[in-house]
Amino acid sequence: MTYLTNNIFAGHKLKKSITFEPQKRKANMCLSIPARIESIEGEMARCSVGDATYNASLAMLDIAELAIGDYVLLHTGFALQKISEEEALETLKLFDEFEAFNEQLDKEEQQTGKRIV
Amino acid sequence: MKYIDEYRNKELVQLLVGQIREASKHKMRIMEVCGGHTMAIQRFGIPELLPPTIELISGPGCPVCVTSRAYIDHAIALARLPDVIVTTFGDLIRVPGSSSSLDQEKAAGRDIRIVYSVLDALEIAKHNRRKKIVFLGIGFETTSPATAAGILKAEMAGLFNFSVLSAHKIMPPPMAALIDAGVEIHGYLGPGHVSTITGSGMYDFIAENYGLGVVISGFEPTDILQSILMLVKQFEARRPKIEIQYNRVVKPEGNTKALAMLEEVFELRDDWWRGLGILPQSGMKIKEKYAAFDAEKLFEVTLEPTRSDKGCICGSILKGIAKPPDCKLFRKACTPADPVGPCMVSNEGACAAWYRYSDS
Repeated sequence: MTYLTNNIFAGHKLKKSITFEPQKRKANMCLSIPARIESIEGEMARCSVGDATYNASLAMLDIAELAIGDYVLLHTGFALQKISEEEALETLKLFDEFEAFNEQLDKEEQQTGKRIV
Repeated sequence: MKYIDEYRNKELVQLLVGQIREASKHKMRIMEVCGGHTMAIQRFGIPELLPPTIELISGPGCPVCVTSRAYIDHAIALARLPDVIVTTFGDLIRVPGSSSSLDQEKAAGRDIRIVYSVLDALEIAKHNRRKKIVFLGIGFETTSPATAAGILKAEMAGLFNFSVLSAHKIMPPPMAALIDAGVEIHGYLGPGHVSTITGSGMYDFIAENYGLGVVISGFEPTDILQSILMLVKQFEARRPKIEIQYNRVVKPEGNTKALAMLEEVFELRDDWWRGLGILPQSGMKIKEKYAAFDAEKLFEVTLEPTRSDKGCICGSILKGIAKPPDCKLFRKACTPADPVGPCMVSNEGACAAWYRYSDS
């Protein structure tokens, strides 16, 4: 794993809730990720990104317009915008490709002992 | 066409590249001002797909990179106070201050904690009532509403041991300042997630007053190529305007609820940007009404004199007048593992993206 995949795709790697163990990972503030709403309690939602789950505030959105199964763009613990499932899955697919490609490059780098990129 | 085989939508990419080549007649420099774009452009080798008429340059779109050394020094000074817990995004932890970094201070035993969200900082405040929790608020309009929401939440919950050291900034002033400074730019690739909050109206003056187009772009290769095509068409037709390519996420009016929170908590002030100096009304200050949550006012600290960078040309890189390999430290004294300047520290920084994805 490179420093980049570590940070950028932390959402995919992380199996646990981040809210109470944020120190365990290098949190990256700049990233916005598509997440699926699993449950809503008050203005907080439990959201999933792959295997990882996140606590997210819905304070910036109209909660009445949100339902379980909807996708939102998640940024530093807040849902910024409701997005379509298609958009969410496309973006997640892109993340996965990024990750797979980075891992492949890392493997090649380790094997050859040379820096490829 | 380094990594073209790895693209999805290979045909679409090729189609867009063909259209760009056909449409582009005059030399054109396009600047992106979003760390996510910096990374995607380098990662996908997009510059190599473009005709020689088009040059892509990185602007001041990485919040960590534009943050002043004095701010880091301020955060460190707060961390050294008794009973203070400093909470920060991980991005900031390795950025060098004048004589130390948050990472070094943490190693020396200061209570500095990495959080993913301001909500985590509130949680820490709730469980450490006798401590004072300072949250380091950095970032553009994508991130500042979350900080505003955090302050509003702290007030509602009576968490008066929580405060924010704000270095939040807004995007339009540097976009104008670069043109004023004579940097050659013919169009802006507008930041996707900043605009999710702000909408597109805030860029109108760039087309009206400066005659430059802005296309708000998504982050996939096809998004970026399509946005470049839109900018090229505007430029060739001499019809600069504000367009949203990323319209499946960005609405012209933005996120009105988030904007209302920003308005409630913050007001604008002059602020310092690395590479650009002081820009009028470009930073966000906590309003007097919420002074109880303003770490600038709550704690009196003496800051050490700010030390300048040794040979680091991060400022010029942020202005788009130099590229990472132009720096004599790049890949030598300055690497992601041992960064000298913030452009190498942050993953979104031009130097880090260049280091990772470019051969030169």
